[in-house]
Amino acid sequence: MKQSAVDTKSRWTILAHPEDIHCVVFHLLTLAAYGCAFWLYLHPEWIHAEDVWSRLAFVVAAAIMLGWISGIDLGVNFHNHTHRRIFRAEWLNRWFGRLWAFSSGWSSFYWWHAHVIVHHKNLLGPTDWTLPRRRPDGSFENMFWYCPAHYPWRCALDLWRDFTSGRGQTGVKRRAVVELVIFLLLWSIPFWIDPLMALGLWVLPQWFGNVWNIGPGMYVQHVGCIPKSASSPYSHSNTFLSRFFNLTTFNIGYHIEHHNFPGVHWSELPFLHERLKDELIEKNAHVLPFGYYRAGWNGSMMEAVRNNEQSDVEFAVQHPDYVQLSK
Amino acid sequence: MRQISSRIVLILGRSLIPITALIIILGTIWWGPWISLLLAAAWWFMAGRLV
Repeated sequence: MKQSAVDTKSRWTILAHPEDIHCVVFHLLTLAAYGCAFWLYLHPEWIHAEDVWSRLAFVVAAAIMLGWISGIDLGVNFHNHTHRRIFRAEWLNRWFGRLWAFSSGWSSFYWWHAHVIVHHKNLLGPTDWTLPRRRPDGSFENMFWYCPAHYPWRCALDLWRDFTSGRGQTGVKRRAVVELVIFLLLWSIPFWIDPLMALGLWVLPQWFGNVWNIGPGMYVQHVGCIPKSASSPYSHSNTFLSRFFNLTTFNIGYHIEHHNFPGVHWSELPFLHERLKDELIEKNAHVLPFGYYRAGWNGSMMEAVRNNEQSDVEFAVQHPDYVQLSK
Repeated sequence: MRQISSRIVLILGRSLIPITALIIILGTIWWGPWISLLLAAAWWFMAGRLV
């Protein structure tokens, strides 16, 4: 009797994991924020912005906030969905995904390709074009060059190369064309309403979110790192332990853990981190006591100096609980 | 009851940033666009230093 009650409940549960309700709420709030900004732009008398300068002030303020939440909504929230689908029905996953990534200036399929096929499968390798380019000494290029160069310019070129060469899976070229058409139909909606509004409150926030929110995040996640090896199994990424940052970004700070176990649900990463703690200390994992924002804007804190052994490393900043006591 | 309220608090906590964005955008109705711009710039400045 008890078993059948559980079966009935699971039949009516559309989410794959109960914690994924947070993902849905976050995305719906993001869409609501865009909707409110559009409405207020079209009714300037409501916000006392009848002159050009006041209207511009509103557009810049809204673009910063919309960009910020779009960056998290795509780079973290949708990101989780690319690893573990949040719904039980595949058609719902596909369509919710399309209606998810478009508000951050991406086709869901294109972002999945860039993240899973390119980044995760070739982490820090020569074909991982999602990361900053490397200087001759192996270090990352400057973050303030990488961020504006990567989106949309390098992304567009590399995606073109990948899809025309058939990278990833059979039929990828045809799928890329179909998904591009669906994306353009959805993405162009604000332009049909008001082209100027679309530039200020749609294109600008998406540019801001991709360049100045996701870009620094991608940079600090792997700066100073080396490809995974038997002697350095945790040196491919940096982990960030700010509780506020991880609360508001679906635990993306647990990045070493995420790359080693991408199938682990985002809500379970703190527990996985605790289980791995001793090993992280022993293997010189880079664990920092703050979040991405502070790390991105204060690049010197991310410096890592390695000797020829590669696993013997000096970090500019390391969480005090993660310093090897024997050193 | 306690479980439900803690779940609501967690949902609000995880969505704190979009809720803040909504408050700043909708708050423009009361305080005008220049205060919203100031709040957005302050948000960016504080996040880069504290989080």
